[in-house]
Amino acid sequence: MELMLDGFINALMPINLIAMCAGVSIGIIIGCLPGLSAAMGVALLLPLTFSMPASTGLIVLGAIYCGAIFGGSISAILIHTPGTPASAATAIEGYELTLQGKAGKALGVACFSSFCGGLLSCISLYFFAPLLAQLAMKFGSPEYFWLSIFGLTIIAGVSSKSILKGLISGALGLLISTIGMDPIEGVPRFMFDQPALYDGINVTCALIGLFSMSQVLILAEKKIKERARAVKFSDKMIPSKDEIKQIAPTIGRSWIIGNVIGILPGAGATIACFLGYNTARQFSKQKEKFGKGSIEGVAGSEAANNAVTGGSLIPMLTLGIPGESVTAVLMGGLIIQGLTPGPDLFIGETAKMTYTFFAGFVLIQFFMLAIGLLGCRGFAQISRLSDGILIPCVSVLCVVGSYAIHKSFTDVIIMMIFGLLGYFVRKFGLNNAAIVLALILGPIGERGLRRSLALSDGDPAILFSTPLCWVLIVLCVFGIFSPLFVGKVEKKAANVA
Amino acid sequence: MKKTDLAVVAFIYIVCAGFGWYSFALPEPAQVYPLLILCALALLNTFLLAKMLFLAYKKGSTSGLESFADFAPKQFFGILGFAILYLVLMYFAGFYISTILFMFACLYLLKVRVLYILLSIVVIIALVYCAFGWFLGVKLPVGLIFG
Repeated sequence: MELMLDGFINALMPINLIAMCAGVSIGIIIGCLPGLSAAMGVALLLPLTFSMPASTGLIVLGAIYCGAIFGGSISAILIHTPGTPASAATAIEGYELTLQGKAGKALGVACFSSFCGGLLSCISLYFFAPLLAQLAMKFGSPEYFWLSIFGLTIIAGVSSKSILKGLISGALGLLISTIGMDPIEGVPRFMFDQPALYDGINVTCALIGLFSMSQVLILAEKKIKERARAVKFSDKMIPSKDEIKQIAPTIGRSWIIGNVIGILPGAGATIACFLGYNTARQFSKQKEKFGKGSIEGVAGSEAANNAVTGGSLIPMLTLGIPGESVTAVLMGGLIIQGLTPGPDLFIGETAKMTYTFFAGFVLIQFFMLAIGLLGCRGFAQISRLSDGILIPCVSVLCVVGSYAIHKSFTDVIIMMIFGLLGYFVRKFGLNNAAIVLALILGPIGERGLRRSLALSDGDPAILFSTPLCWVLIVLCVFGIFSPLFVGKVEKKAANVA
Repeated sequence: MKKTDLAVVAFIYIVCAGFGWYSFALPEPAQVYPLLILCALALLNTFLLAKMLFLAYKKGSTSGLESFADFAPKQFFGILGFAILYLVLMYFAGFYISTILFMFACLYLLKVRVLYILLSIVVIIALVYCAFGWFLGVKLPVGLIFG
């Protein structure tokens, strides 16, 4: 309780409030630009958080994450083009409302539902995260090995199109993570006589390359088309009491859906928004309005995708296992600050930082509501920004961001190589997120395995010696087969929508 | 089966062979972990190849070039070429000069109106200067010519 209170006091410091305001605004801009994703935005702005205190840096990244997920709904509603895949279901009802001259209403409901979904997701963040962290404190080297394997099986979940290609991407990422000095023997591994690779591949450069630079190349390969003009609207944005009463049960259901989906590794906001929308339709008293502009449809989708945000942070913060691409990038932000994601974040001085971030995450939702309602008209115009302008601007930010990490030109070249790799990975159906997860989890798994074997004089039985190891092995099996289940759910939800 | 997947399989085998060759040059205790990963990667790749052959036998094959359907080669290679030139030029002429030239070249190639070209360059230069130069105190490359 004391930590929670301290967290709020720290989060309310002016620097953190400015960080929230700026982060949410940048996030909404990134989100409302079709073609730019939340992961890309967080990766691109990661270097800006280096010099900030850890809690402030994390608050900025969290604010960008939340802002981007909401921002996607603006272009979905106004120009029928979801800014991020997480708003795909919002476009169905939102654009119908726009055609009826109720764009303001649709945006207001989207904003209010996003706020509620995000705020309610903080509850599970506060209550489940410390519990899971307590469990993780009992982990030794063998458990950490299995934990990283569990994380790697999530790769199969992240790549629902082809499990095999997802696993190949993960193994490729693991191989890349071995570049640098051997952590036990102290000999150079695959460094190709490049002293800059002594500490291995810089994860942030890899992130910027794989998510941001590759996106630039994806945008550059297609002829630039002018975007549809965003509809100007003058109707009232703030939902009335009756409307709030109407959408309240939908928000409640979507919150539960989004939270569970968020905690489950491998699933994400895109699945949540379709499930939220679908459930809203099933339980609605006005089913006939669906497909013709229903505010319940908008609320169901938006509350669910924002409820994912808090939930998805739980496995990343407590176990050091990012379940999807945005949390993988956020984990990169933690590592840059010299913090080790996992139970250590809930001990001593670090716990203060963690609870400041939690409190910041609560306040971010209020900023999102205020900025969303006040700035929607302005953001709507930004959503028309041409890819022609975005391509060179994002390229420059990729270059300067990767250079700023160590003020090294080699990092820029590494970013560029990963950008090209990321482009081909996407074109050939492999998976960028899987490579990133493996890059992050590879060293954890290697340390766990080699320490365990050193402790047991090379006897692999140590890896099966505790009940916790077996629990994690079962989770690994679940991780491998979960994509089959997630794929079915996603298909069913999309078909119904 | 997509024929382009054959390129993926071939690439992975080449990576395995290259890293495998380097692995054997490492001291024995340091070989184990990379070789373990390489074996897993090669095994998965073989599964993918087997799956592709099975699918080709059952359902036939497609070129797999659908993902390159709207590919605009001039634009793509233009941007990629400018990006590489940008890094080379930055090494010699520094960040600001190379950024202005890179942005101008890209925006011109992408047929952006001159007014927007100028505005974009000013905004990005100001943003980078304020965020990285002023706020983070990052000394951006000045280049061999001016350094």
